[in-house]
Amino acid sequence: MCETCGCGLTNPNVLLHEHEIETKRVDLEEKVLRHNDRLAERNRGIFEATQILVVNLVSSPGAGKTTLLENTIRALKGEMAIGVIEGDQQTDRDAKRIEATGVDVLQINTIDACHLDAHMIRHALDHFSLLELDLLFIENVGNLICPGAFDLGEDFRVVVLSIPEGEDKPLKYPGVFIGSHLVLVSKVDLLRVLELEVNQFFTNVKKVHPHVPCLSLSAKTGEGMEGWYSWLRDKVKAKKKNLNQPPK
Amino acid sequence: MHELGIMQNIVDTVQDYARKNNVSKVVKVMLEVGQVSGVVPESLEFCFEVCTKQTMLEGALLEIERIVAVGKCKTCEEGFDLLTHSFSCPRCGGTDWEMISGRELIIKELEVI
Repeated sequence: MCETCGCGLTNPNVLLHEHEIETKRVDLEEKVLRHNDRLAERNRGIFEATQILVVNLVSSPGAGKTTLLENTIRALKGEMAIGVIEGDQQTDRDAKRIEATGVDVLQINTIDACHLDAHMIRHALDHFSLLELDLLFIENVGNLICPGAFDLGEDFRVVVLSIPEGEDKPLKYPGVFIGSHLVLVSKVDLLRVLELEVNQFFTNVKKVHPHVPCLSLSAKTGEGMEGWYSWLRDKVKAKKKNLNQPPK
Repeated sequence: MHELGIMQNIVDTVQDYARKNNVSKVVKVMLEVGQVSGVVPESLEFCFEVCTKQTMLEGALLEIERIVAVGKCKTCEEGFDLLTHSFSCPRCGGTDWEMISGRELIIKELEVI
């Protein structure tokens, strides 16, 4: 037997010989993230059964997700039970800030990973008393690209786009906006300083995702926050009645 | 940069298939990657060699087909390349469209022995 390739050739004097190796083509048509998608469906089932509204907050680093959450929690915790999963590569700084608002929070440190996935969320859920929760926020790792590919089982993916990032971000990073269910244009108190118009942001968001609802707000001044709160109230209520359309 | 994890997923899926189907070696892997999937083909190629070391995919070819982000105009039904035409229909100027393709991340085909 040829020791190099394992074929059945018996003449050891023939050092060089060619092989007609038959290869076979196979149609696989398999989603690369099928494992994540399956776990996300499982999470979705848990959220369905426990009637918790789950919001996955996605943005660039520094867009103001944590400040938005702090103020949202302080405004709404009297009327609904809120939990938070914090995703960051390192530190528990965000979890400490959320903890100070008095709600239950779990920090996930992804170390090398640039996004949260459905598997991490499944394990994080063990930390919470799910039957007591009405609303669970998942603050994703600050990153405008990678989190877009990973379904976590959430009801709504909310992208936070802050004014200092510039109005062209939806055009430069369309993927995450295309997959979103609501876009919050944040830090609108900075519009005047930066000489920008909020409509430029809305226009570009609608360009890449024509029908996505958009709200503008400032967690710092409170401007526009009431609109965001009523959106959350409506969705929490609808979740209890199973009225929310599942995201695509 | 989540391509390393994505590639590890691809290698796991292919190995899983190979084991279940008595495949001894995988010589080619064909992927479809959408333009707005958030995945960079060049990074995938870079990770392929690392992730396939000492697996039955070692030495295999990686072929990536980039899938254009196509929208279908809701006004005139024209299908058009979203990125080239900055998300508005080149025929009627319409800005309301439905996404037809561009978010794919699929292991399309394998060539195996």
